[in-house]
Amino acid sequence: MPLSSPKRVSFIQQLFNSRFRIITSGDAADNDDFNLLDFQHYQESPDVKKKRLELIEEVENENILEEGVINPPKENPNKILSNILEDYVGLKEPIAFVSKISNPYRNLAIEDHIFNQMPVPKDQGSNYNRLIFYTNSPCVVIGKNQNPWKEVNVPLLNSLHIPLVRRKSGGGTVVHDGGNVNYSFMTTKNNFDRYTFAKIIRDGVNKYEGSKYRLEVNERGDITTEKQQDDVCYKISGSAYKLAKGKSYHHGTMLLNLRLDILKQLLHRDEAKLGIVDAMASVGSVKSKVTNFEMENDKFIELVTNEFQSIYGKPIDYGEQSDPDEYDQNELFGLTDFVEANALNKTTKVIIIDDDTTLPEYVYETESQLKEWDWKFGGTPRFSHKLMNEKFGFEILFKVDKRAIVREMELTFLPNDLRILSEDKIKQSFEFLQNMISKGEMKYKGSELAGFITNDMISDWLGESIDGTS
Amino acid sequence: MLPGRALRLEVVRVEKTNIPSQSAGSPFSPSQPESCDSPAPLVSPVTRSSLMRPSVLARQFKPMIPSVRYNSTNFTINTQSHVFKYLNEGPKYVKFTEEHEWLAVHEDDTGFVGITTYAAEALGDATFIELPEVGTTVDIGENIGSVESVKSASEIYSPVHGEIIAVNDILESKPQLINDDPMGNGWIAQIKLLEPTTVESSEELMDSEQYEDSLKDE
Repeated sequence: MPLSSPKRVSFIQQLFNSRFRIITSGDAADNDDFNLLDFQHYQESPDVKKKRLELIEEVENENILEEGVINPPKENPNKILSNILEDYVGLKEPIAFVSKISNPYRNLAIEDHIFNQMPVPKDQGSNYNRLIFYTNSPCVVIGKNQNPWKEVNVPLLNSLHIPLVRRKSGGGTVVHDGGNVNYSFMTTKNNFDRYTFAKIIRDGVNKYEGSKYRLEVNERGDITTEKQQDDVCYKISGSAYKLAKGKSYHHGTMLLNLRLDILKQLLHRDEAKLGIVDAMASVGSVKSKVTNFEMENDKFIELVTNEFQSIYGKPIDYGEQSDPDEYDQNELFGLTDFVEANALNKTTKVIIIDDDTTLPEYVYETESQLKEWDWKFGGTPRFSHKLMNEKFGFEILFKVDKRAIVREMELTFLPNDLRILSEDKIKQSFEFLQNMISKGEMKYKGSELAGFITNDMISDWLGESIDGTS
Repeated sequence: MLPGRALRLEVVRVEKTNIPSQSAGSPFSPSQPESCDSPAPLVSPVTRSSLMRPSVLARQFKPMIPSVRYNSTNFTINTQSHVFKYLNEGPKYVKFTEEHEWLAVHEDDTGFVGITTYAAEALGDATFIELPEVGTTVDIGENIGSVESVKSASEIYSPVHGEIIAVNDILESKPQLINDDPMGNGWIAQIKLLEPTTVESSEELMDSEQYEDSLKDE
């Protein structure tokens, strides 16, 4: 880490170096991930250098005079040494995590684990807040109490092998891909509200001059653009929240460069083909006009991390021996303005999670639970699904209970003189299925229902219409 | 909203309140009725000087506190509801948890569970209530469902060890009942207590007075 010879690294140089390398102990690539690489090329003018060397000498002489020995070099307390997630999740200090993992189930499991392990401070003065960033490979994420058949084009999703993910927080359906950064802000339940972190994002991002839009937070707590020429404030971020065990999180998507055309298709359902879903009590999605913010993912992460640190971070502490009142280090370097502007006088650890990070078993367990059909589809509140088959001239209505168990089916014939199969034959082909449903353990899976239909064409059609399986 | 800045403002405020010759028209006068929009509605004028403490300062920005003053009538069971009328006598006792659940126990050692008026107000309009399954046995602190409101899912925990013997199905089609009557018709589950003797004396559970005090301390 030290830029100069390790044999004679002065305290001041250490301090200076560490201040601009607070993110990780990693190599240049890590710094570049936060767009901090430019700091490496920081060059001081000859005058500044001369002044600095004088000051170093002065301070070191002082140390010798006062204590008889040179103060040992002090480590940046936020230097990250371990690559084990478990070493950080329980720390009683604010922390930011950046996941480089793209598996949506694993990222949600990591988020869940960090949330569960976050300690709750006893006094209101301290905060052990957490901030997590992650970017998923393409997937569709539905809210805890939503109906995937209602919200999503399930057959299309399955044919494209795009995962459907049910999260543990409330709210509506969102589409993720590499052009979307997810953030998750965790704090106590008492400090929960829907606006605080949206405003932190707004303020952090608006400090950067090079953005395409200025951001606003509307009364729903959504992050939007300023009103555009067409009088619309386009939504850029969707939010959801969870409260549990004295803690809360606010997580959301930040549309930076998402494929909006694909989003539209995945969420579009043609009811003539996919049937009519009566989702009953489950939570619907609110459609909004959205747009991309068109910022680089890492730039967004850097800006929001800075804002998080400036609000919740701890003043940089270089060890017990240093006395902050002795002299103003920022002033010493003529950096006061810079530091205030960038709020680097407060910081937090930033933990990078990648494929090499050792994750606890709990994360893998949660990941497999999130992948289970019983959670993704079985978590749907009671609903009914009516499918129309024009070719054979019938409608079939499935009433589906909790855990996505089919309670009953109703077959109705539509007026159709050109029926290629008689009503009796159609009825017959459903008899076996009807029988299975009455036993009360039939899950609403296309492939399973189709398997009990004796007519191949109807069987294929049913599996395809329910979820693209047959 | 840097804490440091807030603190400086508060120092000025407290100094003002300490001036004995303060006029009645001062915004800091103890006699002034607190408006509903007051940022710190739960701080009584007597304890104002405690605003110096950072823990209390933090509360000023705490949106979980609804803009309503609570008194004992806020935390009683609706006498017109099934929860009260289930047995002739009304509930034997009512307890509260830190997670803002209430528990109303009847003579037959069954207890109704729901969320408090405070929690219902703080969460806002409920859009979905997840109910537990009848017949399951739950431990103290085990998840027995959740309330979704305005995009937030809030977990509900069982205050007791027991078996779920009934759930309030009406909440499935009318989740807003939990806002309209959280401590009555908005009950969530009825639990048969498996360790009835330990419940009333449990140190984890609060009576209504303690619960109210806990809201002031937060």
